[in-house]
Amino acid sequence: MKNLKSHPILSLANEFIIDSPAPSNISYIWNFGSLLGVCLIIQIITGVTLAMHYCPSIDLAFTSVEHIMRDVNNGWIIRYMHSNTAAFFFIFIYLHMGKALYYGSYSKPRILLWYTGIQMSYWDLATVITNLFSAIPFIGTDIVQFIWGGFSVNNATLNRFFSLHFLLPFILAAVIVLHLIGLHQHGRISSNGDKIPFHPYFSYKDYVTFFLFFLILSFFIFFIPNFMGEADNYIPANPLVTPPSIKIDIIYLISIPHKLGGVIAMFAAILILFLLPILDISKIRSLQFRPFMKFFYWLFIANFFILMWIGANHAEAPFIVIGQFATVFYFLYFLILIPFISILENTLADIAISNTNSKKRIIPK
Amino acid sequence: MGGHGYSGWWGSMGGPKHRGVVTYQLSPYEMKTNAHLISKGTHNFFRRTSSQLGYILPGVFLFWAVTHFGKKKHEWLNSKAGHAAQHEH
Repeated sequence: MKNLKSHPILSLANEFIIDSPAPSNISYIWNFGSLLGVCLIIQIITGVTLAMHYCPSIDLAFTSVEHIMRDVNNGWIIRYMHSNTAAFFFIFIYLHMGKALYYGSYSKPRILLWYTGIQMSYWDLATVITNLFSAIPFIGTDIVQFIWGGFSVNNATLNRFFSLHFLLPFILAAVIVLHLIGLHQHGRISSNGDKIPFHPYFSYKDYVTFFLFFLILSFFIFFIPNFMGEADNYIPANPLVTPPSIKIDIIYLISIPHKLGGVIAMFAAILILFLLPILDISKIRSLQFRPFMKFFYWLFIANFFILMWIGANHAEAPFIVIGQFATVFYFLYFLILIPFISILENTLADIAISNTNSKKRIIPK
Repeated sequence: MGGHGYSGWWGSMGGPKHRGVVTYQLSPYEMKTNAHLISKGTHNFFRRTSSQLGYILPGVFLFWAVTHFGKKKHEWLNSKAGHAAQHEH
């Protein structure tokens, strides 16, 4: 295999997944990136297969799904794989981003890597939203009619959203390539500089979690396939009735009385991640060595779970007010806590260093 | 070859200089991936986990407190007593 290092395309494979120097000390928390890749492959394969049998038309959409479930050979397993992997996709994205936030992976020199990552979470969110073709409250009638392509959810809406739902994962795949280029430019974070080749050490370590994921996914598919779904999915869509529970981020639209403000807040919640490399001015990258910031990080995670719980609830008192407070804390964490605790910890570190230095001067050996 | 950035490629990693690294000897643990897993691992697991509890538990408590309050409040607002209290004024 001497070609592996000289061939223009094979050498890329060598650089990325064979000889790539990886830190010897990274834990299983670093496996979510490859798991996300596996998820995307599963989603594209099952998605394309489902699309062979699905009809994006108001008359046939619901019955074609039932046709997949009952008549198509193994159609039920393909559909359940697609729906359950979609849920795991999001869980893995949150864990992958949580790792980046904890270990400061977004800071210099890996800003490009972080930015492509945020962009992917956008595409992924967009892919899921295009799947929710139900009546989504939006900014104004003009825009909502433009998006629907009519005065209500109709055949055109179903067609265009299905079209985008099919397209977006391939854009996602392109951004993954950018993300991998960004990753291999500077390598993974290492605290001690000790590197080992990606293959066999991390290729095999990735397989461990692949099989663990397949095991858990199989449990969901075969035993509780609708556990993470909604009962509403089994009621034929009615353009005149908004389903009682729309899960994704709609709470933002409702908790903020001004609807436009709600939409801005929803986009700002992701856009603020772009500012993170600028807002975090700490000299120490990882929260492992930053006790104050670590404490608030876990409060931020708790707040994130509160927001998810709010999103799963109906827009009623007291969830609206709790949602507003949680949203404010979400933004405060990035805009106030991160920069100010960075300054505090930088200052404490400076004082400690200058104290140690001055002591050395006073007591010469 | 890649890795021209922060972290270099093999032979020029660009990190701190390694000293005292034995390069010609296999580690005695090469084939013992789970060495001392039970004898030392158990204690280390609890030691490492408990050292992090002070950071994590406040967040767990916050989540529990907020969701518990929210559920109770929501229940009360939809109860007979809650309706009566809301429409008093």
